[in-house]
Amino acid sequence: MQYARNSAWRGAALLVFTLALTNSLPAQTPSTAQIVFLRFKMKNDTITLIKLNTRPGVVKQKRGGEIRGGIYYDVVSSSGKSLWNGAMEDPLVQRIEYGDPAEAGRIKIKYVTHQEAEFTLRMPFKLEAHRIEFYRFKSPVEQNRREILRQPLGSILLQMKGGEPK
Amino acid sequence: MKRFQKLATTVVFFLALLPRQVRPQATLQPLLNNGATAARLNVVIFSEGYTSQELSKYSADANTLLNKLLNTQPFKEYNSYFNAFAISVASKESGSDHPSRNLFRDTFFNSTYDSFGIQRLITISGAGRVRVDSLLQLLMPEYDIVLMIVNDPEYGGSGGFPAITSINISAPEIVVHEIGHSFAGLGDE
Repeated sequence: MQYARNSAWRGAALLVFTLALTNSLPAQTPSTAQIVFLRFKMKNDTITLIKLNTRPGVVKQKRGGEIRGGIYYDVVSSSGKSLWNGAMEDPLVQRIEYGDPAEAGRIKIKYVTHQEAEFTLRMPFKLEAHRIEFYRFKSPVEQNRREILRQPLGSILLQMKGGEPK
Repeated sequence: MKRFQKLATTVVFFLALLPRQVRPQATLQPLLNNGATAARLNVVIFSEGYTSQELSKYSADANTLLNKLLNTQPFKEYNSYFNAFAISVASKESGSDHPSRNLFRDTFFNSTYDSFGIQRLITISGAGRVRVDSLLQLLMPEYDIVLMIVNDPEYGGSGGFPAITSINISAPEIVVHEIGHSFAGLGDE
């Protein structure tokens, strides 16, 4: 009887422990995971890497989805294997939302175009990351063509070093 | 030359003696802790236009904004999924720029009203964005939502990164709307 009770408690404790662990552990192990901060400059659709910095932490994968007029990126290994990807709004077209006290609750939107802009991307540290490829999706000019064209914006070499936070 | 070196050493010595809050030193203060930062949505709130003497008020302002946010649906329902942190950094002057009135303030992130010809639109400069980015890397690399409170009573703010609000009581609605976009997948209006 005593053993059965102990066993039930042990089972319950194990279940709670497992649930807690499952809930708290993302894809990377928090204690060893690192985030790579990539700072870029974009000017007339030309993207250059300004700075690469590594910090401890875990990057959460954003939910996928299309961003109209956005820029897409793919981090690939030297063999071309995709390691991380994502999408973002065009850094040269700033979407600004603002309110007006005269029209409470109504949010207005303004788009501002820039000649150049800086932006930061985060990705999990992966030693095999070799380059990042940027592209847009462009609708075909010809009406009868159904496929969406992938318009490359640039491919930038990444130099991951050892994984030690700087 | 030796005289200059002596003077420089003295200046550095006295600067080092200044209390931490007088220097533009950023500090991170937890406001809400619901678990490991790797497994929660981490809200980071920056101070802008608070002088070192006003930073004690900033903590209360950050909590007010956070409560407003987490008491609004759908965030209210998912309250326990959030952590929140305040990053305090002192500005030399209080408030924000109002170029239409020829009012300019020396603030840490160089915020300004009247952006792009719209009086209520507050934005920060490119250099200000770089500062936001650097502080996030340093103090909270696992950030998810970034907000900024501008210590100015006039209504104003903007969505984007970071989402900005003034301390005006009606202003945080922009911030709440913006976060709805980012994390709840809500439509525009």
